Amino acid sequence: MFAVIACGRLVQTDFQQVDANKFTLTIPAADKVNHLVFFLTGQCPLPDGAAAAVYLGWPQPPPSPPEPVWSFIGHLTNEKPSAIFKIARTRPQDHDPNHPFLANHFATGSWTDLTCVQVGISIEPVQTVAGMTPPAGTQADSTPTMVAFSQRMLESLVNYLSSFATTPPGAAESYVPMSAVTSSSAIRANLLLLRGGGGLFVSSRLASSAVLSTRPYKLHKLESGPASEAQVTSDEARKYYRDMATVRRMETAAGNLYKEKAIRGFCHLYSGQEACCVGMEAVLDRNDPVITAYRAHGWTYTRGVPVKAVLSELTGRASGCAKGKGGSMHMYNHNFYGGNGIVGAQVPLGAGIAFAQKYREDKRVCVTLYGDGAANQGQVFEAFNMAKLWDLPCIFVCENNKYGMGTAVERAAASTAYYTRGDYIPGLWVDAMDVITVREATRFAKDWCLSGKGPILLEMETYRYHGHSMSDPGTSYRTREEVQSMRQMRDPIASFRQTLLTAELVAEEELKEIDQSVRKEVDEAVQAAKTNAVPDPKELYTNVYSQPPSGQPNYRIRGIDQFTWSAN
Amino acid sequence: LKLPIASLLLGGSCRSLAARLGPVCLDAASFSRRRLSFGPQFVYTPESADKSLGETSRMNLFQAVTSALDNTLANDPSAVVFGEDVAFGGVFRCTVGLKDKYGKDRVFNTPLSEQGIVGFAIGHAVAGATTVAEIQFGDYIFPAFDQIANEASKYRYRSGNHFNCGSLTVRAPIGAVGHGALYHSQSPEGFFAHLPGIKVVIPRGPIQAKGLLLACINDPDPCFYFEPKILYRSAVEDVPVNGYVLPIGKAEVLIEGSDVHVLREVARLAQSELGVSCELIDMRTILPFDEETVYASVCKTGRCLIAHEAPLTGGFGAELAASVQEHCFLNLEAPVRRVAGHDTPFPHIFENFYLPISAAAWPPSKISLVIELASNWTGWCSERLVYLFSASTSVL
Repeated sequence: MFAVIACGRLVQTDFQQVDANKFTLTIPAADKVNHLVFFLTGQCPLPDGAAAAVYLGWPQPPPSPPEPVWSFIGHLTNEKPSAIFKIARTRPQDHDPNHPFLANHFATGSWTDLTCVQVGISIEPVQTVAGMTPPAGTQADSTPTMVAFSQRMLESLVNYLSSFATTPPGAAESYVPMSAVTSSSAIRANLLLLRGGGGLFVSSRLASSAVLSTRPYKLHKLESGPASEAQVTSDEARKYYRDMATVRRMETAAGNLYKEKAIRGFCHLYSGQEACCVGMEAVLDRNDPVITAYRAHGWTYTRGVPVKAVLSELTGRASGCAKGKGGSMHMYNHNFYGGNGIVGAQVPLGAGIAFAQKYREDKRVCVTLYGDGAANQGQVFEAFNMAKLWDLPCIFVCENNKYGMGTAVERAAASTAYYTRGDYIPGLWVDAMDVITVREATRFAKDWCLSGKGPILLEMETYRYHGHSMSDPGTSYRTREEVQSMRQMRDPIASFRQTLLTAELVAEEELKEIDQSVRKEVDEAVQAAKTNAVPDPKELYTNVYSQPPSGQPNYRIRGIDQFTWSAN
Repeated sequence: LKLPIASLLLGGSCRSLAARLGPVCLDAASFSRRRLSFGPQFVYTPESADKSLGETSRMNLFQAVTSALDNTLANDPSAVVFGEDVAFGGVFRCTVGLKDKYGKDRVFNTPLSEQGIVGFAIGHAVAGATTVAEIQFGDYIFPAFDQIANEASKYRYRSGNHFNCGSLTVRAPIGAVGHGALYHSQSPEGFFAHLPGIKVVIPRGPIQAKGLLLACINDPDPCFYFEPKILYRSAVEDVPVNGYVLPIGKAEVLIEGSDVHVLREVARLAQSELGVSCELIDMRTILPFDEETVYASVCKTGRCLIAHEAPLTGGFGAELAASVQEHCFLNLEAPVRRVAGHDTPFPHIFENFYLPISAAAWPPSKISLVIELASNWTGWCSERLVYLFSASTSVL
């Protein structure tokens, strides 16, 4: 007649009746459990005037006898058939799961598992139970009045929806897409609120903003650098987390599609470098042009191309962002100039775009990205010279992921201090495994350029977990241990998650919710990418020139031989 | 056979030929099905080496290249090999084991700078050393094009033979492979054919590859050696282990039964279906091309078909066609025809249509002709592929 749920586990109803009115049950691995939900299953109600008192019994570490010490934590009645209790603080303080005698009680020969807790329910008269007070910290926040509850629910809904806000190009403010409002995950989030009594998932303990510190920078020909602290609101935090999680998931999905041969050719994954594109995009807006190299999927997403269009472009569908004609390395969007296959070729292009911004007095910066391998291309230095000579508002960004294909930076470059290789262009070295550090550096750089001081060079020191492309396992030139240790210790998403939880900026449940909705979005995109229509074969001939080339309305592309040509 | 009859026969026979090769697929479903199953659909048919060259070993094309470089580094103390990623063996494994055998002073990696690589190589060659530089993909050779066009090809001429960079050889993989898309599939030999002063060589198989590469390295003029990357693994032959050279500037007439890839299939089909005997010629050297062999063959047969993978307009086939019609005009029975790539950038998703290696990839509304013939027919091939289409109308 009783049931208990620990978070993330199946319902347990296996109470043993040890006495006429006493039942017990064991919960394993309870040191990992924070809350327990108790409820009456309704098979038979409690007798009138009776309440079920709930006790927790933690086992004692040796040398004490193994019988548990029981403590009262609360009660259930027919009128209040369910309750949630926080149990973490009821554990005895000296309860160390790493106790040397954890698994074996040699002295008495019995085995004590210190991580289990026993639950005891005793049916007693209501008066008796009402007089018992549970220890502090076991009661979940009691259900507030309807007004307070509704208020919290609405706050949570607003927080949740605002994490989807985007600014369409040319718009003056942000908009939330209807799909976020009407999607089931929005409703589910609010159902969780109701179930949780309004207390668990919208914690009034959560801050709406926090001051986070940035990691140290290195300066080249700069008197001062970006701020060492930054204000981050919980909305912004959710957005960054969501974007990074989406890029990570999307790249994993792309890798899987490649292994299934749904994507062929070349596919360069961005996993591990998410903080760079998300952090920079946090300061840029859609009117600042960006141009990058071939490891472009992450940037394509943050520049506003939905995951579905990115994956469709990879699988060569007509719904792809370049109509399926470009593939992995050539993805484009408004103010996103790609996606470039030839190493280093995009850097002079970026200088040119920056010049156009300056010429039109647009008050925009152009972000030109290249890698550590491309940093040795001659055309990069030609672009630097032109940018500095003409004071172009160009932020050059070297995404240094330590390996140019299979060559470590020390073996390719005489100077690996890429932020100084602009020489006369001031430079900034940024630890790009932290999104807030990247954001503040970008803010500094954007202010620098827009104040007319000319170009600036940012070196984003980051790491890619996968190989150079899908045909490179990524372990022949670096150790697995190195990759593993980067994943475990410096992962941008995990460390940001930890920062948010520590700063109590976002609740863990919300982050899980974001993870789930990201997973759903990417799964749907994968389905679309596999099933959408391929481009019409006549697209082979379109867009070679403007169509038709001016002055030649009857021009047709020749093909194969002098009698075969495009269909139009 | 008189021409009008030949053309009627052509129309009918081509349709039956097309029927033999398979149906023409138009719809998107079959397009995507074919796209997903795309792969080299030809089977490489090996040749055998001259017995006098001695002991042989089973090698594919990249191993043949390694063997040639091995011979060079062993016999020429000034020889060096460099390029991106060559030290560990190269992305196509053409230089496997060479660094361990000859040391990192002679086999070394360069940074990612094509213009730097080729300029540096030209300088090294001018100073007298045997230099073999690698450009990782032919598509990446363009930053180096200035060095090639303005320095390498003109050095001897502008210095009045005082200096030259003849000991330079630059290797690059070219050609489509099935999934290369825009920047890993190009065939740039047409651009280089326009530069007097250099030589451009393309092998068709491992035995040819080793002999031609050694010939290029020993050649007193700068040579550009383009390896069709699709053959790296698929072309396997018994290649002589010792060094040997094959002549540069000489085309080779491949007689039925001893040649390679789709061409052979085309010739065989032409013989069996259409009663046509074809003479197939592999140019081997694009620049300077073997005029004698070419003209002699066309004058004998009276008809000429030229095929290459690079786009049609301005491709090397145009030069051959112009030269052939000039020299063999009175012997020609029909215009010289070319079959080549489309005049578009090499596509990402349409590769199967761009290169219909599976023969029936074309919708019937396209007029196409591969074989125009009479009793004898001559086909030219500067690279490896000929496309076979179904003809919806008979064409002259």
